[in-house]
Amino acid sequence: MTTDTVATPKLDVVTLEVLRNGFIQICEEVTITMLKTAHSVIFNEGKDLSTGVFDRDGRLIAQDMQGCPIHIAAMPQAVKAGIERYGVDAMYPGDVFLVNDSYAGGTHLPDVTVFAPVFWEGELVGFIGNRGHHTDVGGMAPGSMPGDATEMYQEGLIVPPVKIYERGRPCRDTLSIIYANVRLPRNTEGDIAAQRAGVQTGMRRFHSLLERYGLDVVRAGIDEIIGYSDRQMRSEVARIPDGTYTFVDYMDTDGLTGRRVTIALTVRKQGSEITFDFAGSDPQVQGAVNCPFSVTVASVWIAMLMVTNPDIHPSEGAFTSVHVTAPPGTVVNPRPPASTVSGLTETCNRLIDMCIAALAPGCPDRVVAGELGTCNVHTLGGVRSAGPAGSPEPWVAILNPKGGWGGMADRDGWTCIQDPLSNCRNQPCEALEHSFPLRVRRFSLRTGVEGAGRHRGGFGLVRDIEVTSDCVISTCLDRARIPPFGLLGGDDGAVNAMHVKRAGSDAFEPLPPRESNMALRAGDVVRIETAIGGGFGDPLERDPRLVAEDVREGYLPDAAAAREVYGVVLDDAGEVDEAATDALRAQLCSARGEVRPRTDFPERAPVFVPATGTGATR
Amino acid sequence: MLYAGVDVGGTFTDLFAYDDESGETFAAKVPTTVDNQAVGVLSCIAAAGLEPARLDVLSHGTTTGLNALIERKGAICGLLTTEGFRDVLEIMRTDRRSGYDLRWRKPQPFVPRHLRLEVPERVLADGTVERPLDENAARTAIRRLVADGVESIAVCLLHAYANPVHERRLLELIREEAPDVAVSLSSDVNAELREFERTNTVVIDAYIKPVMVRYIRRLAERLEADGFTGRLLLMQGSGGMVTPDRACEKPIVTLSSGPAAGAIAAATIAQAAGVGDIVTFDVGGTSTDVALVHDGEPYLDGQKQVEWGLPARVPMIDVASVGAGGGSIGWVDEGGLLKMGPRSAGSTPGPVCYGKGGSEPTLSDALLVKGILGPSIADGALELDVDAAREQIGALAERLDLPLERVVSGMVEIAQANMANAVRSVSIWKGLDPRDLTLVAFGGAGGMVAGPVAAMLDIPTVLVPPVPGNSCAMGTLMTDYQEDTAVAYLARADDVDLDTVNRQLAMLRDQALAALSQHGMPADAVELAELADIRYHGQIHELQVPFEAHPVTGDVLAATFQAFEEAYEETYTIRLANGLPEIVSLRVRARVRLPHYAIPDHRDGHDTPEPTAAREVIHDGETFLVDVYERAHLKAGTTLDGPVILEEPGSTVWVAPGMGLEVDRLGNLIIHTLASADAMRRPALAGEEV
Repeated sequence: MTTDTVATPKLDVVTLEVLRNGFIQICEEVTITMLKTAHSVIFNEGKDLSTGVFDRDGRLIAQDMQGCPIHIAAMPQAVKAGIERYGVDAMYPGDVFLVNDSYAGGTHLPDVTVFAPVFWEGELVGFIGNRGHHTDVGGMAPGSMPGDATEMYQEGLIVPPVKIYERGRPCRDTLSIIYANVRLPRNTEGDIAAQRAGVQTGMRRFHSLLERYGLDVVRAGIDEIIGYSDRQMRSEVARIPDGTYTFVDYMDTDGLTGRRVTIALTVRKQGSEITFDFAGSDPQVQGAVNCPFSVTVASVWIAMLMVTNPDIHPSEGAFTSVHVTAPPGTVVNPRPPASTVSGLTETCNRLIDMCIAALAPGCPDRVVAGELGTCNVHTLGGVRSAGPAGSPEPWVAILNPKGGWGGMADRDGWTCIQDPLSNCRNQPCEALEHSFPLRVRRFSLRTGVEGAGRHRGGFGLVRDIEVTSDCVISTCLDRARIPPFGLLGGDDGAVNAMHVKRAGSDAFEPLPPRESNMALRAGDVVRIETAIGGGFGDPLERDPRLVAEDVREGYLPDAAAAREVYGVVLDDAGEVDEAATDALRAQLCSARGEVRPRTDFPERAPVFVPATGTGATR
Repeated sequence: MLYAGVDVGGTFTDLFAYDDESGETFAAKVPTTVDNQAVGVLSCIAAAGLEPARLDVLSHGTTTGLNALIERKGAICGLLTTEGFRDVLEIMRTDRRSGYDLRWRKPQPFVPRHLRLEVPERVLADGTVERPLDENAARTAIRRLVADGVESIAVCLLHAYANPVHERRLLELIREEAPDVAVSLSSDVNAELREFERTNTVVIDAYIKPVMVRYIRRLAERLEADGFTGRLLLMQGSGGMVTPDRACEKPIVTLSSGPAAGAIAAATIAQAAGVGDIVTFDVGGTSTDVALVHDGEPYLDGQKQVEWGLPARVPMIDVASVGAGGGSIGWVDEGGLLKMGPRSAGSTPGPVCYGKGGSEPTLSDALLVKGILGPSIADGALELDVDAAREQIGALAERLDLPLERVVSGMVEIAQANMANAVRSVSIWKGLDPRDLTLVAFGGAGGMVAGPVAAMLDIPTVLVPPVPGNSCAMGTLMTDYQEDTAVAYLARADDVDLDTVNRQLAMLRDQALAALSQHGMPADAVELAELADIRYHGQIHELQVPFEAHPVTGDVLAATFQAFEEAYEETYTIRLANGLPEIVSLRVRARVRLPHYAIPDHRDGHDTPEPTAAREVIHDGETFLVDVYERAHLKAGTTLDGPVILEEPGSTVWVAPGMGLEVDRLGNLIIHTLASADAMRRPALAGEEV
């Protein structure tokens, strides 16, 4: 422990630790309440919801650690937008606010934030907020995730920060406008009720902390918690070598014309401060991949927690040493009314990947190669007859199959794990078949030779879904043309893909990756394949026994692949022939010269210029 | 008759026994023998001064199955599943343990991929057979698994809960092809919706089955060799007992049996003392187990995570475990904050004061330096090294630049706050207000921290039962024989088919009764309960509601849904005005009553108990000279004011200043905590004297 990392706290460290845990506990109880009372499947089965506690300025004090990373990182900006719009003087006990506007701290329109001020002895002391993904918020496509939108008005109902309860009374006018603009009003009503119930639970717990410790101690504690996070992050940032790091990656398309979108990142690290600068990224586009600046900032925050120390207490203080700049009018800082629906689900993941990968030359032990890079959210919807009376009933099924992550210095990539910005759960096949006119024909790993490395990328999955009644599908995915990148010598992974096999046909044909309301007929089979993550390090350095195991378990197709990709020779029993392997690897190494990963995009490699040195390192 | 209960825990094996004629009781505690728990069971019986030949009943809780899972030392296990679905086990639910942690490793499935084989067949969600089972392909798959050396096979087909016909046929085929291989069917073990959870559950059952069979056979042989002729029963995680044969058929029911026994003991003892709503508080070396009991009944949970993300979905008493116990280590993090746990010194090397090589200060060390824990434990068998503990905590104090006394109190306070948060989360999930509960504290360290933890939660009363170090063993003698059966039946309230419901319930009753009679349980003494798991359409959290009458008529059904809505409002505090209830599963629970141990009236103790010692205790910045009493010296009706310490073999109880103590009719220690609430609220501002 060096003396500069331990400032003299105003509160003693015991009280501070108890208070800090108290705030985390508030978040947990809010989330529990929402999980127990929510209506839509994506809330309670999918766990697509999150909680934060904020101070009176909207600064994040604590968050629920099981929640969706992106929700939390953007939520303070939503609370601050509310404060800016109303002013604290126009906020009263019993008020509850709702917001989903992507340009007011939102993430995308289906992510609805509910927050409420906490009062103590007549004074506003903080906020409790939560954010949950609603099944539908209106707009041009069921599920409100139109990957082909061109302006935000098509995405759904835009709600700036507004009161839905004032002094404990529901604002019925506002609520009825909301319910009139969504496809499943009963669900929406139930989910908003669950969010409000959560906020109220949190408020009671906040009050009991105030009751126990008094306003002065709690206030001092909040400042100390924020300072504590700041100290933690600064000591981590200080360990990253000083200098300039750059990285470039792409979005497959702008979401409309098919034109590739470039995102450029320069990281400048000096002492205990770090700046992520997205200058050089493409101008904002007409399609939906524009990433609201709140989400761009949140992406950097997420990447910093991942690449430094996930145990840092993630209050707003953790990010006072982390700076983000992006020129206005670019795809990472668009102006309204640019459509942003897949800025969250696609671009945000890219930004997180890039921020982590850029730092690879400085901290190779902590970085991860490219992951599936998409939320992969697809919506099926239609009308079917239901109930004993057989009355027509609209249905909306949201699919979010996840895929492989990149390898790391000490392990292979995760197989079938949520993309970095999310942490939901998938939908069980049996539950899908019960709730919707669907039959899942296959739900298996998608394996292959892509993503090879000293530690290979994790695998994706294949899900074949037959629709048993006519309906429409809206797709939204990226990394369908440009695969997840390999890192430090690892190969690129495999792209995401969607296909359809029309009823009566034997052949799968590609489905466009961003299109709304494509017609499906009963008997059509939709195939979703998710990405294989990028490899980390030279495949010729992979432990030959792991290669043998991959062949035995069917992760690699056969012994020929082991030989060709990894330079590992297996005998008839599938065991490693060590002598032959050594010889083959030596031969492959000398034949190729330097390490050359399999990639069609060699420019996607981190470049580092040390602050004191002269030459660039790749 | 002599009844003995033996519970094997991670560190210790405990025994409690009683003679129902003489009233004599026995208790013992020995180290758990990890490789073969039977050795520890036998030596624990001997340590209590008993011989197996004297025992009429031996009730046994074992962690053999759980250990096999945690250490990945189960059987070589194969899986047969529907074509297209063999990777369900590996895909899992796709979430990760924490949003930001790249160090996390996704758990490996219990069956490797090359032993997961698919068979062509398909049953639909409504139970219709869409594609018949391809028996030739099935036989080929079975032979391949056998050739790969599997000891057991798990079978899980899509929608088998709705129609098990193909799973049953596969069982026959496996019996023909491989008669020596153990088999578990998902439709038997867990006939409920959601393929990953069901597959993982049946795989767990198959994975531990050969291990359980070996263990139970070895235990039975050793007992028999020592002259045991009584009845051996095994504890289930659901809180009931089963025969050894039944435990071998469905070993997954024995998971989590120790914590369940502890909850049963606490519930039963509290009930006898006239308290129905409690939270149990079992503080061990590495963790604290917390369970809620409402009206004398512990809550059941539908599943337990054996490792993060790997659920075992069978009914179990809902016990939450938080990583805070006597061995929790105190440390200073990079931001300069004092932390307790979750890392633990466990039993090896153990706390610094044990003198077994531990060098990191733990909660037990802090309790010792604070003066609550005495200088020797286990009846003087272990002398504690208070100087070593003080030295290590002193090192922490130096880094924090705080007085030693403040760090000692702080370590205890932070650990207690962590425990209090766990209790709060558990009660919030169940919709209970902690202030309405009694905290029942047991385990080695429970009595030392329970009072302050209760005070933090505004819980007015703490109850410490007799022999609190052996509560889990005692709990195995306080419950009934139990057989649980369930089947998925999904129907919205407006779409329930009464014939189907009654037919399914009849099938479940027959299954339960058949299992009872097959294992020698008298059918005439069976109590049957028929229940439904109900939720609001669109939600995933179900409540179990009993059907009031049998058979189920339209009126009975309406009353059941009404009861659900009331229970929902009680649990979740809100009513869903336009929510539509739906049934998810049907259940039958069959119980055969066994003799229960009841704590007798406490007639011993001294009329005017004298303290046996006094020691200095640091509390709230002050040092008190505190009297220490032998618990055995206190007779029923005794009252004492805190601060006071009570000691008995294996346990110490701390009554803080401002709290009151009372000994009830049964010898339970009752701590009245609330007098101290003001003291607990006092903020510790900078500059204040500590």
